[in-house]
Amino acid sequence: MHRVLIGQFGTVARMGLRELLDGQGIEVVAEAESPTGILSCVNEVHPDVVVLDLDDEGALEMAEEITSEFPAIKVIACSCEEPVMRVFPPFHHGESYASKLSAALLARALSS
Amino acid sequence: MIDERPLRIWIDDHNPIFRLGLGACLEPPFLLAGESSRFSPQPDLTRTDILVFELEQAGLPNALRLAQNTSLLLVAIAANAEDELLVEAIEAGVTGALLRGDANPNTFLHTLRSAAAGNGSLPTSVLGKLLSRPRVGGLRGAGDLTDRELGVLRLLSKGDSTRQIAEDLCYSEKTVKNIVHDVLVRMNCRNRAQAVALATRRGLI
Repeated sequence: MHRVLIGQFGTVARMGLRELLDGQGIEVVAEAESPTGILSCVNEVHPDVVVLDLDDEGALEMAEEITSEFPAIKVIACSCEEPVMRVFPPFHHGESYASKLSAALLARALSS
Repeated sequence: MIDERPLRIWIDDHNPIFRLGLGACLEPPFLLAGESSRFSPQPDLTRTDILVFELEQAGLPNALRLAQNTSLLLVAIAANAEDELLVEAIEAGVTGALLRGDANPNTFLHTLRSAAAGNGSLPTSVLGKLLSRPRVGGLRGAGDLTDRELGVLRLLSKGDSTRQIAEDLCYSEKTVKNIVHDVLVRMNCRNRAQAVALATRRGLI
């Protein structure tokens, strides 16, 4: 089972993500306390997947940084306003694709 | 106070993460009745007391249409305080509103509790906007309300609670509640927020 690190989200969105992940039996290994703390957090816990807030201005830059430093990690940036997410598959050198966001699609992206 | 009868909340939001998060905020007496995205599936009113919906172009008319001729209470989640739709929503009888960026378990539950108690709840920034709107219609209709009623409305518009108003005007809380009730009936309003909005718009206060 994949180990997931959650980046910084608003309170309600974080609760929603937790709810979704718990429902899928996916383990959250850590939650980053601040946007800048994510990299050191990744370094510490070595997650398989990092979930970022796509509405956060620096999210895409952060995703690129993570995928270039840790190529084996998958990054998923989810919006909490629009039903969209952007997935950075592992070993794809920061390439990404946009997808519709639903609970089922996010669960699949997290566990595939 | 609110009795302990469970209150069933239907949550409509087109972002699944935020929607799940709002559901996770609920605690007794509030129960999750169901959820939908942009009114699909259609909220089941037979098991809903309060509908939480997104304030967007189609969201408001949809919610108002559902609430028509029912006792359904409406709570709007607004993207920002500048939204003209917010003012429209309050004037149309939406009981409470919360800004998306302000939403957390405390503010959300507070908004729901106020709605359930019939008090309405608005972000302060929105209240300010309502009060600063250009007045429409001058003093038309002022004769409909007594000085006493206008006095209570003025204090309501400041965000005072029933108790504060009672202390301020040296009435009992019961009297204040009666006056508010009369005002709502006379102005044909669903709740306090709507009465304040209408009175402001008409230049009564």
